[in-house]
Amino acid sequence: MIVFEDVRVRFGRQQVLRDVNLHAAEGRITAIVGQSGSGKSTALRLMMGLIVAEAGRIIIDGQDVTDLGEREWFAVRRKMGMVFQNSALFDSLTVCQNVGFFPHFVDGVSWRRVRAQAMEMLAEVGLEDHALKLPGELSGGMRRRVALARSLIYRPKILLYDEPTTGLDPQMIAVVNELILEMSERYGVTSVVVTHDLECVHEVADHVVLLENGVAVTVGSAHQLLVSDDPAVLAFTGNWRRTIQGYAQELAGD
Amino acid sequence: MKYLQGMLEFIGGVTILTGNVLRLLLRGRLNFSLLVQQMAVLGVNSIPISVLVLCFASAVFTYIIAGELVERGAAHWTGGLLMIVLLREFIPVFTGIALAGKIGAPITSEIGTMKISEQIDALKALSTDPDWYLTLPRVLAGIIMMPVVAVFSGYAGWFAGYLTAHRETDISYLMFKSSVSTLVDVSDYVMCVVKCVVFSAVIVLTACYMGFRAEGGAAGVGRAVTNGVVVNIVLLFVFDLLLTMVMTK
Repeated sequence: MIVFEDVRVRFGRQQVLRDVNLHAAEGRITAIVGQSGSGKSTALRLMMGLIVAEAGRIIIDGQDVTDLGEREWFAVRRKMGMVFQNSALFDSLTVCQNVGFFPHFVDGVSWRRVRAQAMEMLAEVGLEDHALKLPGELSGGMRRRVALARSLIYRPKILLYDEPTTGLDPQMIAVVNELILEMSERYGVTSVVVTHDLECVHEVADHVVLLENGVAVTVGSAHQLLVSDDPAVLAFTGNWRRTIQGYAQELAGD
Repeated sequence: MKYLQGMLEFIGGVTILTGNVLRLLLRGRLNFSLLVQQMAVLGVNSIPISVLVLCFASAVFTYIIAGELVERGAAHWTGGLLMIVLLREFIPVFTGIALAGKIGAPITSEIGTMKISEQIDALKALSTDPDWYLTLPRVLAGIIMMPVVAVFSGYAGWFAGYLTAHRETDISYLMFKSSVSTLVDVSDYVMCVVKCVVFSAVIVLTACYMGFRAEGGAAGVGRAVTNGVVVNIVLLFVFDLLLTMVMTK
C-alpha cells in the first residue's frame, strides 16, 4: 500500500506537486494519468525515494518514509521494483546479467545459481532466447520486458511502472499490458502505473488518479474515464472519448 | 562568485564521495569480481599510452641534459639525474596525465551516460549504492594499478633516456647507470609510489564525481568529460606541488 498525504514537490521555482493525496491499495493496480509535465513521473520517483518531498507524508507498506535517509531507503526499496520509461537496463551487462542483478549483487547469490533463476524469469517474459544479448541489441518492447523481469526476480511487493507502453507498437502494448495484469493477479503485487496511454489504463487499472498541473483528482475506476463529468477528467479524456464514441457509432451503423 | 561556488560545490561533493567510499571500504563491502574487472580495464588498457608518453618525455629530458653534462665532463651523471627526475616527477605526473585522459574520461563518460539514461536511478531502485557498484571498485583498481602502470612506463622512460643519451654522447650503459646508486635513495622511490597512489585516487574520484553530476543529455556528458579531464590535470599539478613540498622537507 502506498499513501501520499498532502505531498508537495518543488523544483527550483516550479511547484510540481501541490498537496497531493493519493492511495494505492494493496494488490491492486493504480494508474496515475495526466498530460506531459503534470507531475506523474515525479510522483513515481517520490514513491521510490529518488527525490525528496518539500512537504507532506509518504507511507510505503505501512512505513513512514518521508524523512528516510538514502541508506535507509535501500532497505525499503528491497520490497519495491520499478520499470523505467526507457527501461534503464545496464548497457554493459547482458540481458541475463541484468535480470540477475539483484540476487547476485544485492543478495550475494553466485552467478551459477542466479543464471538459472534469471533464465526462468526470462522465460516468463518470453525472452529466454535473448539471454546473452546486450540491451542495445533489443527492441524497445523487449527491453521493457527485460526491465520487468529484472524487477520481478526478487518478488517485490510493490511494482512501479513509468510509461510502460510509450513508444511501443500495438502488439507489444498488448503484451506489456498482459504482463502487468498477470504480475498483479499471479503474485498479488501492488502496482502503480504512470501513463498517458488511456487504452493501457482502461485495460489494466483498478483505480485511476488524474494529475493536473500538480493537483490530484481521484477519478475512481477505469470506467469513470469514459463517463465522469468532472471538468478535469473531461479535458484530459475528451479526444479519446470522442474517438471511442465514433467507433461505437460506426459499429452501431454497420 | 559563480566559479567560487562551483569550486566549493566540487570540493564538498568530492569530500562526501571520498567519505562514502572509505565507509564502504572499511565495512568490507567490496565485490572482488567488480574490482578485478576494473583492474583489467583501467590498468592493462592504460599501459601503452603511459609507456609512450614516458618514452618521449624521458628522451626529451635526456636530449637536453646529456649534451650539457658531456661538455662539463659529467656524462656519468646523466642516468642518475634521469632516474631522480623519473621517480620524483616524470613517472607520477606523466602517467597521471595519461591516465586522466585514458581512464578518467571514460569513467566520467560511462557514469554520465548512466546518469542521463536513468541507470543510476535503476541501481538505487535495485537497492544498490551507486558508490559501491561504480566508485569503490574504480578507485581501488586505480590505486592498485597505477603503480603497476608506473613500473612499465618507468622502465620504458629509463631505456628511452638511455637510448637518447647513447645516440647523442655514445655513453655506455654501465656508465649511464653508474650514478643511480649515488644520486637516488629510497625516499625517491617512496615519493614515486605515494604520488602514484594519491594521483590515481584523485583522478578516479574526480572522474566519478563529474559523471554523477552530468546532466543535460549527450552535450552534458561531453561537458562533464571535458571538465573532468581539465580539473584532473589541474589537481594533479596542485597535489604534485603539495606532495613535493611535504616529502622533500
